[in-house]
Amino acid sequence: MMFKRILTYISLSLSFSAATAEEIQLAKLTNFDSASHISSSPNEISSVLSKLENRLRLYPKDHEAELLKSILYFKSGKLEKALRELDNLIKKVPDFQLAYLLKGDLLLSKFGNTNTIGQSTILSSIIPSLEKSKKQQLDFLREEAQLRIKALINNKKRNTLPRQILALGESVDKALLIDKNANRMYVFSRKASGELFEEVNDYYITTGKLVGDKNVKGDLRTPEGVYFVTSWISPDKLPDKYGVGAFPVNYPNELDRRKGKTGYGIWLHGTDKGSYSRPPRDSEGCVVLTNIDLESLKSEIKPGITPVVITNKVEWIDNASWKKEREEIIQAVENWRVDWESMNVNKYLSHYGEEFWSASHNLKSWSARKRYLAKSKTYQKVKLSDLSVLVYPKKEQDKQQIAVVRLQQDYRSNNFKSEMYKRLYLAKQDKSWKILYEGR
Amino acid sequence: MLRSVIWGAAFFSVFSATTFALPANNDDLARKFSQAQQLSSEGKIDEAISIYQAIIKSQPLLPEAYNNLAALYLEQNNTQQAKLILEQGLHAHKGYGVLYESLTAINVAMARQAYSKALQIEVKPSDITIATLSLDKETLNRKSQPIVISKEQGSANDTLLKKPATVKAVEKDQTSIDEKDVVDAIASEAINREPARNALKVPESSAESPETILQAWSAAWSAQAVDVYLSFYHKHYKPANGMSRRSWEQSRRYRLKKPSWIKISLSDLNVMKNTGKQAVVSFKQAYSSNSFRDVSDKQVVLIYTDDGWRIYREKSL
Repeated sequence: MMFKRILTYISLSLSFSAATAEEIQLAKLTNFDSASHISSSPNEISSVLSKLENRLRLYPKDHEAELLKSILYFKSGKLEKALRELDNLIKKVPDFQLAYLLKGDLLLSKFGNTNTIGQSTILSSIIPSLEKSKKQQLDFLREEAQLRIKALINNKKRNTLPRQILALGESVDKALLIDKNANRMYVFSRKASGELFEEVNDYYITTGKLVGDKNVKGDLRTPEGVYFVTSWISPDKLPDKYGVGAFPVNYPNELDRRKGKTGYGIWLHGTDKGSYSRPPRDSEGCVVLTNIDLESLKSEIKPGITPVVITNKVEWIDNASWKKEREEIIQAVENWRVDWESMNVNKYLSHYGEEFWSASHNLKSWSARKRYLAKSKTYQKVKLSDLSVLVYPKKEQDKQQIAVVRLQQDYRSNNFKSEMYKRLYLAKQDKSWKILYEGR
Repeated sequence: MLRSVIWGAAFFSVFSATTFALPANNDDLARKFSQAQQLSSEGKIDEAISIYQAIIKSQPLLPEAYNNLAALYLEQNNTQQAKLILEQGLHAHKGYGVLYESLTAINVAMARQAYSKALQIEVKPSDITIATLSLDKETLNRKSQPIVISKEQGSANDTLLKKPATVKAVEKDQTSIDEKDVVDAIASEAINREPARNALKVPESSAESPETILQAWSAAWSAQAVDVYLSFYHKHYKPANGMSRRSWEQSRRYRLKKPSWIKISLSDLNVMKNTGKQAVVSFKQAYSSNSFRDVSDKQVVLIYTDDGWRIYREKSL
């Protein structure tokens, strides 16, 4: 049959900051303005489809990929195939509300105008008098759909690295990076081959009801900063709303407490049964994953080790800048180690910033203590290993860039010996990195 | 809208393979058809279009022709026309139109179910109603065409004015007619005598004008009062598209009852002829329902009977 299959569905107004050719192609595929009738070539569609297939091969429970596949089939005119894909998905995930919404749209697309997810003109007439809360629920589902599609467009073929993760130590298999703005959690994995790490997967997440950084208890915001998972709480110890379990993180961390931030109980947790996913901004500050995604990640998240960097927006930078920043911080730590070993106390203390604090010291008392101890030393050996470097998301009002270094420290001297994991907070002041906090 | 076109075409293709073989002795038609295919493959769209149009004229029950013609209009980016052609094809034979609408009803019901899951709303099991068609002799004689067989023949009459809500709407519409200052004395007497139900009965007055009848007819339509609506038609009324009276009635019944609401308004009424026995009236008819809306120019021929004016012929201009 000769048919010009021009199908329009999703009209999203997405902006593409770095519009590579690839991105534009993807945009064309999924970002259709109903008026413009841009038609995507079968090649473009099949290339994205094969990417989604690949995602499913690596992670068979990637139900988002199945949802997106259905949208792509629909876009290429294969309505029945799209519906079959959705029916299979619904069979597997009978509580995926967004999949039902899409199914309704596709069924109605046979004779109605369906330009945008969940905005069928027929929806309102076949489900009349939607309560306000249900209208809002519909808006949430539409938002969720947009975010999931946007992630497909933005994530693929990214030739950049996140400024937030510059190094992962040998003991750190995984790092989690959260982009609140995109409602996305990226998982990075250490490569065995010696390469530093690679992005392995990304997930749709729910974050705090309100946008912005957390400051006080109960402000319904998800904190931004460098955190570590502290423990695992199994579901039998939790109310149903946490789903299959929870990984608390160390909010408020040392810097948060220093800044006077309050609140507690920031967790990564699952979803109440009865829903596959939650609206994009729906939590009281926690990061919520689907139960299926959390289950699949559970074995890879290690309490006390796995870092969770939460940003409003991840800073993706090119390889060269990333390497430069990485070297800069690693070098600063190395200089500190060398000066410490050198027995030159002044040189050693020059690495500490004016605002330095530790559990029981400020810069003045720390300096006094170190000068005192130095007198008893005839030699010192400091070995650092398992270095992870994580960088705070920089906000406009921030005067300085802050990084967190987690390392293993092996210290020996004529009269003392210790082995421990340490956390250093570093701040970049006048082009050089100074230690802001040192502790275990 | 575009999708309905494509889907409509897919719908056709299911049937075309088996039920619509070209008439065996009609070599000329087959020749024309392949000529049209040839022309369209050469990009001579306009020529191909006119051949398909000719084919449809001589053989209106050939879905391939509607389908391919619609495809050509799409090629010309004329989606409106493509849609129109497919709809024409669907209604060329009553069975298809009804099958299409029944499928539509099922799709809507399924969509509603999906939406209710999406929004976690409890909905009652869907009340899908599908028109039942009767089998008439005319249909049986055309053996090569698909036939829709009714399960409950003749049950349609029972459904008159089932819902009280419908009656209410009827009363309201009657009021609006009163306001238009075309109230007939006897008609209003009838309303006073038997309020609600009789409100929309066809007025029995001889003083009734063709315009008033048409207003009452459109009010019954708007109220989805099918039997009242049908009673406005002359016993010898002939449906314009060659349907039998009976299947026409059934399709009207279905069409009136399917939407959740209908609103008809008539304007520019023009009595072109009125001999007292016969009248010709043209008007603009604005139709809207929960799912469809259009404005068309219509012309009706009315004949004066013992019961008053009745619609004898009705056509869209």
